[in-house]
Amino acid sequence: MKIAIEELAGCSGCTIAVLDLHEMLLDVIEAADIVYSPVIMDVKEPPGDIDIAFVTGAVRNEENHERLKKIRRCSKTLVALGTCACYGGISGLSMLSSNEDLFRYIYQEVETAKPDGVIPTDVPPFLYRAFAVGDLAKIDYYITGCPPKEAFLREIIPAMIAGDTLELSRKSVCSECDRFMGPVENWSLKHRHEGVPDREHCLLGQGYLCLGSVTFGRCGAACPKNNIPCHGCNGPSLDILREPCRDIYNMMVRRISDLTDKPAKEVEKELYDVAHTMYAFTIGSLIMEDKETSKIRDLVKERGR
Amino acid sequence: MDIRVDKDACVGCGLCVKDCPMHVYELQDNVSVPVRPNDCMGCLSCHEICPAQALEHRGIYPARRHYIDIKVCEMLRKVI
Repeated sequence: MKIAIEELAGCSGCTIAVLDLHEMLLDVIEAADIVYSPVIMDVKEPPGDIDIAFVTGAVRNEENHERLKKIRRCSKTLVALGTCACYGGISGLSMLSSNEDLFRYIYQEVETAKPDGVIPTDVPPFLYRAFAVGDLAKIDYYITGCPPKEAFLREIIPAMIAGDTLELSRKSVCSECDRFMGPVENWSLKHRHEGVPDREHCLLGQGYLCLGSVTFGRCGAACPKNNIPCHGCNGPSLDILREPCRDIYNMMVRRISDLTDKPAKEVEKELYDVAHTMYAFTIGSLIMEDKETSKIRDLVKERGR
Repeated sequence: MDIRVDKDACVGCGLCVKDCPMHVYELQDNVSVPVRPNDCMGCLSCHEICPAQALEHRGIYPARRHYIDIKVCEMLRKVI
């Protein structure tokens, strides 16, 4: 059994999440060889006979696309690991600026840019948009999470190597959260830095934009349990993914509106920076963009040019 | 009507109580309880609003279903 982990446009956090298996990694490498992973070993190209390849990161430039095609050719089973691979992830937010703006900012405007301000031409050219890997290649399995949590990988990776099946919860983050709904009075939307949330009651009910209800579980509601509103890093919950008329934005507005008895239009007026607060992890996904009610198309259109 | 509530998943938000046109649910000790399951007309609006996907209706199916894109179906089957 040969395993590979390929890196595309991402932060390598998903590969580090695999290393977070700690001692269990010894059992994994007893059952399977890791033959290619640019982050953890010095092998330049994937060999041709990989059994399970994990691909992390989105596709943002031509090199990413070539690498994706190559790893698909070299592997029997290709698994999208992490939210960037599944839904475009953080890399997708680059679509809010034009390629020219991105390059100008990175090579000329940030403090750490070289003083000569030359935009290099010997780097792989950018594609016109970000893609989730499933938009460009046949994917056999999707494992979401930014990064996928090690408690979950501990169950899934050994099972995958052994060819076993597992029964896992397919519910939202709320189902794993230990908070209860408190009184919802004089509701108004709070920014994350405003006040300290009460630990017992639902963050959405307290006015914080917690995406738990529209986000796929598997994280044990780690953020809400530590008093931080969910920002949706696991990608959309499966009901949102499945139903064409449901989207992250419209279901959040509907739930807030039902909870607070405010008309949906009033709720929408209070929302701020929808691209970063609601679609931060899914903006690069064609599947999420193609939904009739999706706001992604408008958000991308609003960019400079 | 056989309605099951996953008590561990339910967050006690009361949205199903508010949303149900037939007043099937009541909140008891911060958990939704289907107190009048026989009144249920199977519209499944409670499924749509439940943030924790805690509700299950056995043996009924929505009468009208939107077309689901083949790409979405394929991805849905493969999410683990």
